[in-house]
Amino acid sequence: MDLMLSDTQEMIRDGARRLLADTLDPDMVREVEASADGVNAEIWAQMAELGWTALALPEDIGGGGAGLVDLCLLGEELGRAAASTPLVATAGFAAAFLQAVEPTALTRSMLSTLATSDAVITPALADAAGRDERSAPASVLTETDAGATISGAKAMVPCASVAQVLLVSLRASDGEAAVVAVDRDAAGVRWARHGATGGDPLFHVEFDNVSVPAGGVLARGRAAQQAIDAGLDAAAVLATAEAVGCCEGMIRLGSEYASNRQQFGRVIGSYQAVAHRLADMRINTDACRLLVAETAWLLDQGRDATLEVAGTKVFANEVMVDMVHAAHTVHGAIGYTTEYDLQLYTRRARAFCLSHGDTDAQTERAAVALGL
Amino acid sequence: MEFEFPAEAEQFRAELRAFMDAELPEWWKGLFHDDDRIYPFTREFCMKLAERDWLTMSWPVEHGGVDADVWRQMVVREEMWAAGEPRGPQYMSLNYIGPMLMDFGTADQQERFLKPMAGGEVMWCQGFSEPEAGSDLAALSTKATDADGCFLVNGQKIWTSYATAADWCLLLCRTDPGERKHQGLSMLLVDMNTPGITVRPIDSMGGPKEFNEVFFDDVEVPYDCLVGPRGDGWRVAISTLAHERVGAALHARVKVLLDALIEYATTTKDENGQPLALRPSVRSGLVRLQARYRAARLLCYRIVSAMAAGVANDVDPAVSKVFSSELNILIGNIGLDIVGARGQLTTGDGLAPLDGLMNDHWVHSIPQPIAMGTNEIQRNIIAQRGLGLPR
Ligand SMILES: Cc1cc2nc3c(=O)[nH]c(=O)nc-3n(C[C@H](O)[C@H](O)[C@H](O)COP(=O)(O)OP(=O)(O)OC[C@H]3O[C@@H](n4cnc5c(N)ncnc54)[C@H](O)[C@@H]3O)c2cc1C
Repeated sequence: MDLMLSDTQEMIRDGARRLLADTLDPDMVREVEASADGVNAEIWAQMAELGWTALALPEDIGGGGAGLVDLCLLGEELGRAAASTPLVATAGFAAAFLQAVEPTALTRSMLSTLATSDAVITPALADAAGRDERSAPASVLTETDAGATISGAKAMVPCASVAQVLLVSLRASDGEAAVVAVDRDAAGVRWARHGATGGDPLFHVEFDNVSVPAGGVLARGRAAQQAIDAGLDAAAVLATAEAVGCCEGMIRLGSEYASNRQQFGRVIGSYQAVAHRLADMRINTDACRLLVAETAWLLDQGRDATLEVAGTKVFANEVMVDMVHAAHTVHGAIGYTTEYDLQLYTRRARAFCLSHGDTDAQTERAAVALGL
Repeated sequence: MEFEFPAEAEQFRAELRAFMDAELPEWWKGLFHDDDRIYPFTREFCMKLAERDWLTMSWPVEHGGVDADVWRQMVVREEMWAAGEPRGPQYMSLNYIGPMLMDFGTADQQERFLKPMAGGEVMWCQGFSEPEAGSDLAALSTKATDADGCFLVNGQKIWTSYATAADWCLLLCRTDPGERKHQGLSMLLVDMNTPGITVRPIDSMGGPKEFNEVFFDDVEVPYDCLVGPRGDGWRVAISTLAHERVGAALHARVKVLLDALIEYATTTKDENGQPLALRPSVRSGLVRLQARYRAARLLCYRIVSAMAAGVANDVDPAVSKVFSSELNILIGNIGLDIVGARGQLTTGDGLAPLDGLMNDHWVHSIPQPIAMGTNEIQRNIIAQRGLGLPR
């Protein structure tokens, strides 16, 4: 048992913090949010250049040979900077999904692309008509002698406008689930950005008779479900790490504000009603970070960590909803303005609680894993 | 990072559990119960642990320990707390009174007091709190004045746990007037058999003997029972309290209760023949508790990891204490809701679910946010020292 970061891990964390401090300020975050793509493309490219986005991929394909634990350190730094990148979609979901399916020439080449470039591969799972990523898809895969096509509509697809490849979950004609890789540029793919609270750009994506290249069906039935679960679990843990970074942002702003703002002739941080809310944010943020690290470590060891992934998400959802409002309370009216930076973090944190498995969905998974 | 105990620590855990299964009597329900057999039993139990080198194993060899690895020591803390602390009051000597003597005691004091502690023979109590000095400990007024070649102690302590059984008392008192209230305090080692000491048990929700008032009336304490510099007792006390907070494995009991609740919920059916475990509120409650149990455990391990790496700070123990004690409250309440109306029946009543386990835990969870420095004080520490907020 050792909960201290290794020297290498500290280097990853400090390096990321320095890069982000040098290249990203809150005004740029606002610009990116208002842009069509909604991602910090330059930062993503730099991180890929430095090998950070491929940190957890195996060394023999050009990856860093580290693990999700290390990727989560990076995620937390992105969260602290309120950066929007495809990290969760690509290094989280796609990398884990592609390593969980039966390897083919196509999956190998996609993985090595991920390991050596800033390519974006993103999941398109939640049907426009469904509730979330794990709901049975209504979009269909039609297979004939002439080839396969897909049709349907997906909601809340992250980073679709900058993606090269979409990993789409579908219902095959035999009623089984299937996951297909299609080029985002293929004929018949159309996308439009959702209006959404959080930081990550989400898209509505339509597939109108899009033809699937040979070998494009990556998994079917149970195997497809399991690979989706592997991808979603890695994504949920990494997203929680990013959300922990957002909480750190809230704590930093709150502590600074409470140390300076005076009312009734006293600095408001000397009022315990204020100080104790910040202390509670510290406690719950630390708890989340440790849960993320342990869960990522279990996944890195190849253990079944359904209980830990789901339980961590349930806990993070619960405490982060509280933290968002505690942070706003501490700031008074100023925190509600767009000019002040707090909203960059609180919007992201609140959206996080609804993404990657909401509380009900993850509670149910954890309950089953607990034997209930 | 590494999230597993070393294999040898886990093997030790198995050995320790087997030993405890053999040694804990049928009637044993935990330290905080009203039963005259408890204190004598804990003394015997500690002596048996000492025979196996398991009592003070984290101590250095020169003081009767075996310099055991911190994780082995964590195993002991967890297994003992999970079983209702069969070491009795002696966990205090092992975790912080002994280490305090190693830090501040003279060679003679170490020779005289550490050996019996390591042998499991002696019980101590902690005489810090007073009626007018709780969170504001330095406001205490029990005085030790100079008499004929010794101190003469007068005053009153309160909430002193285990004072009816204790052989010795770690007494924080005022020896000298100080300019500020943190000055002029001293730490004394007081033989509880000294004439002039009166112990009066205070009936509490947890039983008639959980804590006590201790009166000192012209109690003679030899000068060689002063630990650390005279007038600098505050520094000694602070270091003692820091060891105290690190010693707690409050999460370990939560695991026992959680396992019992899962078993209960999966095997108990409601009036429609459905297991309680199928109720959404029960599923949600147990899942929340399980995640929080993991977090409490990791927050505790973080302190130990930092200590082992030589980078301990005083904020992490405060974070851990608040989180774990509030989790103990939460599991008491969720647990009572799961067992339902009969949850209010007490241990020993044939109809009490889980033989009153949840009710018993609920009662004993009440003081957890208060004892060892209240959670409000811990939050002050986190805010001021952790976040840099003004006082
Ligand atoms: C079961 C049990 C066993 C104990 N055993 C021992 C023992 O063996 N030896 C011993 O010496 N003591 C013991 N204590 C005493 C314990 O250390 C004190 O109860 C504790 O320090 C709090 O003091 P108090 O009870 O006087 O509460 P107070 O200090 O009066 O506090 C009352 C309330 O006011 C709050 N408060 C006080 N000051 C502040 C502040 N500055 N900011 C915000 N809130 C504040 C507290 O948090 C609390 O909520 C024990 C207590 C319990 C419950």
